[in-house]
Amino acid sequence: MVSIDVIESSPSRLRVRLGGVDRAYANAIRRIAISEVPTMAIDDVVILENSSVMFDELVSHRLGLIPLKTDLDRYNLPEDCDCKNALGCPKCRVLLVLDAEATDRILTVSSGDLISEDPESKPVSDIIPIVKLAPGQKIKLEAYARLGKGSEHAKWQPTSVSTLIETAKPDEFELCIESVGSLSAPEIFARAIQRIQQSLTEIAAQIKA
Amino acid sequence: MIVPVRCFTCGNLVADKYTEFQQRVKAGEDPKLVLDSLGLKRYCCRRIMITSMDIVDQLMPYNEALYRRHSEFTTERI
Repeated sequence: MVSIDVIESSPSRLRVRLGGVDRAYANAIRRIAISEVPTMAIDDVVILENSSVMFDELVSHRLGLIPLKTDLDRYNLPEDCDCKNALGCPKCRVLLVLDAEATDRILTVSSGDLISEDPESKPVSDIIPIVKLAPGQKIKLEAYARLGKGSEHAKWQPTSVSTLIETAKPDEFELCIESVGSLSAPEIFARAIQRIQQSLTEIAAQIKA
Repeated sequence: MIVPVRCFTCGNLVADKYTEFQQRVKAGEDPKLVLDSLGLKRYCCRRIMITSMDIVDQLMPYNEALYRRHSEFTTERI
């Protein structure tokens, strides 16, 4: 008999005790939570102006790592989207704009200055520093965010921690998922299970065919 | 250059806690307790907080001086 006991549950952290499941299945949940549950992250950056001391590549890398709040029902993965467009459509990408200039003193440009096309897909925190500008320096860029998977790049990983611990009883495991903020920990868990089911039905269909 | 956005090892978001950490440690609080209250439990995230340094701040004065000189120069010419 399969049982799930929730030990701890908050948007940032989920701990559950899985009973009566296979080690392979429990481990699959853990691995899929890391690499197969999609999240939103900035992927393409068009730098229109950058006179800061930091290189374009460094700025865009930092932008990519900023976790964005993700609504998985609202967006499609670019490869699954029906637009079939290399540039994407409103259903598979979000535009974020950054335009800042330091006038009389040093300015720290933070994630709160990013203006998103979709108010729902905004950075998790508004105080992540992106660049520092000295007086007279300017930064202006367009960033395109899309859904992606952790298996492609670590910036799309929804979890920071995803561990499986064996307990004293046989066939009982303790799964711990910690979220970076883009999705809540319970949602990552639910999506991971959905993903396994989906993969299994695909395999079953392939075998039948 | 500037604080890493995420922890190198686990991928946890750390950049948003850096300013608060710096301010509180400078104000004389025990770094250990500050890290605990910021919710950084693992030592991978904690070392990022303790060891990172904003080198941009050292590059900035040069640009500031350059800007100042430039504006002086343009006003002199007028």
